[in-house]
Amino acid sequence: MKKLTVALCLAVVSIGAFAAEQITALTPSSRADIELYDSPTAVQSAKKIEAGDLSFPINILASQNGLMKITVDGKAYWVKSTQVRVKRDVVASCGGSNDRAERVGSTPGAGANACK
Amino acid sequence: MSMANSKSFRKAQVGLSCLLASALLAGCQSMGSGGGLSPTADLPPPESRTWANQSEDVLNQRATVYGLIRAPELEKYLNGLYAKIKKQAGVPEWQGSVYLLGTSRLDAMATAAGNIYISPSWIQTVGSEDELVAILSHEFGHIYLHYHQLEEAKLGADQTAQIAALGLAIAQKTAQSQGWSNADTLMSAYLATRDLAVAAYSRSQESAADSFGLNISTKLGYSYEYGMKAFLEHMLSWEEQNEERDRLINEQLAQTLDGALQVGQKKIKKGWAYATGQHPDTIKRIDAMAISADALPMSVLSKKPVKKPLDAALKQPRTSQTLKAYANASKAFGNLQEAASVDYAKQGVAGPGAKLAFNVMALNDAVNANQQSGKTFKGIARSGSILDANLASEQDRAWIVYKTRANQLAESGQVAPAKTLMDQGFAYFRPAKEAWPDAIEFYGKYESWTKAKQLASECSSKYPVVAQACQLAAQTPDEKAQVDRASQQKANSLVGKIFGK
Repeated sequence: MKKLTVALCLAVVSIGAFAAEQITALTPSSRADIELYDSPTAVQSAKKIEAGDLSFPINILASQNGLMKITVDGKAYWVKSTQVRVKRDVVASCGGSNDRAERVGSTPGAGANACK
Repeated sequence: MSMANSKSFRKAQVGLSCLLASALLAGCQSMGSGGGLSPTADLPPPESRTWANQSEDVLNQRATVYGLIRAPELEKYLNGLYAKIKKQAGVPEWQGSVYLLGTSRLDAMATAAGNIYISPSWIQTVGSEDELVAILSHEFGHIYLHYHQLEEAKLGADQTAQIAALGLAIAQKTAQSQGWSNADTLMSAYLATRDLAVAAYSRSQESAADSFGLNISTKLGYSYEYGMKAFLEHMLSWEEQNEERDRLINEQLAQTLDGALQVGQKKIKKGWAYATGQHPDTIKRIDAMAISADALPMSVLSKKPVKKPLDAALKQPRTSQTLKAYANASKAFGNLQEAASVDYAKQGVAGPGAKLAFNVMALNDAVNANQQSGKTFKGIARSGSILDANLASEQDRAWIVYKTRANQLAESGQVAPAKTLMDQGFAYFRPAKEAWPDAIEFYGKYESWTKAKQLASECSSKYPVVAQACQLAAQTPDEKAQVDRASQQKANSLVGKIFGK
C-alpha cells in the first residue's frame, strides 16, 4: 500500500507541457457545418464544409476580427471564432497535499473540481 | 416517526423542492436562445437577503486550506473591475471584495458575504481583462441570483432528516442496532435524494451565472470571444488535463490487485460524483453560450481584447514578485518528493512570498518530504521555524500554519509550547468555523477529551454547517474504533440484505 501511495504522489506532478492553442471541435456541438472565408474581412463565405470532413485538432495560425486562420486541404481559410471550440493553455496544477476542493458555504468553484 | 417530526421532515423536503423548482423555472423571462438570460436583456431585480459578515468570511477563508495570498496592488485592480460589475448590475452599494486564494489550482468562488475568491492561477492563465471580467461576472452572478440560500435550505432539511431518523430508531428501539435498520434506510434515501436535488439546483445556477456573466460583460463592452468563451474553454482544457493525469495515475495503480480495486472504487465514486456534480458539463455550457452569443452583432463578436490594464497590473513590482514566488511555491508542491522542490520552495519564500502561508507551507512540506528520505539541506533552518514568518504577520497568518506548527511541536514532545501556540491561534481564528474541528481534535489529543466535547457542543450550536465535523473531531480513539466497528457491521448487514444472506 505504501508503494501505491508513493506512486500516486509521484504521479501528481504539475502539467508543464503547454501545447499550442488548437481548434478541437465546432460549437455548439450540434453544428453540422462551418463556413470558410478567404480573408478576415470577407463578407461572403468562400465555401461551407461539413464537420465530419474536418480533422481535429486544427492548428490556429492567426486570429483577427473575430475570425481564426486555419488550413483546410492545404489552403488557408478563416473561420468565425464563435463557431469553434478552442483548447487553451492553462497555468495551474493540482499540487498541495492539504489542498481540497470543497469549501463550506461557497459556490462550487470555477475549476476547483478538476483535481478530484 | 412522531407526527411533529413527520411534519417538519415534509416541510424541509418542500423547502428543497421549492428551490429546485424555482431553479428550473428561473430565466423563463428574458430567455436567450441558449436557454438563460439573453445577453442584452434587463436583469431581474435581486432578491432581498441578509448578508453574511464580510470580515468573518475573510477570516474563514484564511482558516481554509492554505489561506489567502495578499497582493494589495493586484487586489486593488481586481476590486476596480468588481466595482464596475456591481455598478452595471445596478447595485454599486453592495458589500464584497475580491481576494486571492492560496491554491495552485484554477479556482474561483463566491460567498454569501459578497466576496469573490480567485486563485492566482486564473490571473496567470487569462489572456485579457475581458476574461477576468467574465470570471468575476459569473461569480457575482451567484451572489446576485442568491445561490447561497441553498446552504440554508440544505442545512434545515439535513437537521430535520436526522431528527426524523432518530425518532424512527427510538420508536423501533433500534438506536443501538448494529445491523442495517429502517432508520439507516430512511437516512440513506434522504441523502441520495438530497444530493441529486442539490446537484440539479447547482447545475441550473451555474448555467444561470454563465448567462448573467455574458450579459454583464457584454454590456460593459467586453469581448465574448476573449471573455466568456475563453473562460469556459480554459476551464474545459484544465479539466481535460486532469482527466489525463487521472488516467496515468489509474494506469499505474491498476498494475497490482490492491491498486485495481482502488481504481474500481474510484470509478464508482466518480460515477456518483458525476451524477451529483454541481457544475454542468462544461461542453454543454460552452454550447449554451455559443447559442446565446449568436444573437450578438458581429461588431460585438469581433471586439479586440482589452490587455493593457491587466498587463500593467501584472507588471507592478510587488505583484510581479508575489506571483513569481507563488509560481515557485506551486512548482514545489507539484514535485514534493524531488530534491528540486526545496530549491523551488526557497525561491517561493523570496521577497513578499516570505510571509505567505501557501509559500511557507510549500517549503515546510518540501523540506519534510526530503528529510524523510534522508536528504539534508544546508542553509535552511529547522522546518518548524520556516512557518514562524507567517505567524508573525498579522495580515497573512493562516490557520493551517498554526495547526501544522502546534502539531509538529506536540509530536516532538514539546506539548506545553504546542498548547500555548494552539491557544493563541484558536483565540485569533475562533470566529472562523473552519478552524474548530482541527482545534477540537488537538485539544482532545493533547489536553482532554472533556474539553474537546465541550468545544464540539459549542461548535454545533454556533456553526451548524461544521457541526458534524466538530462532533467527529471530539471522538476519543475508543469511540472512533467503536463507530468504525458499527459501520463495518452495518455495511456487512447491508451486503447481506442485498445478496439475501
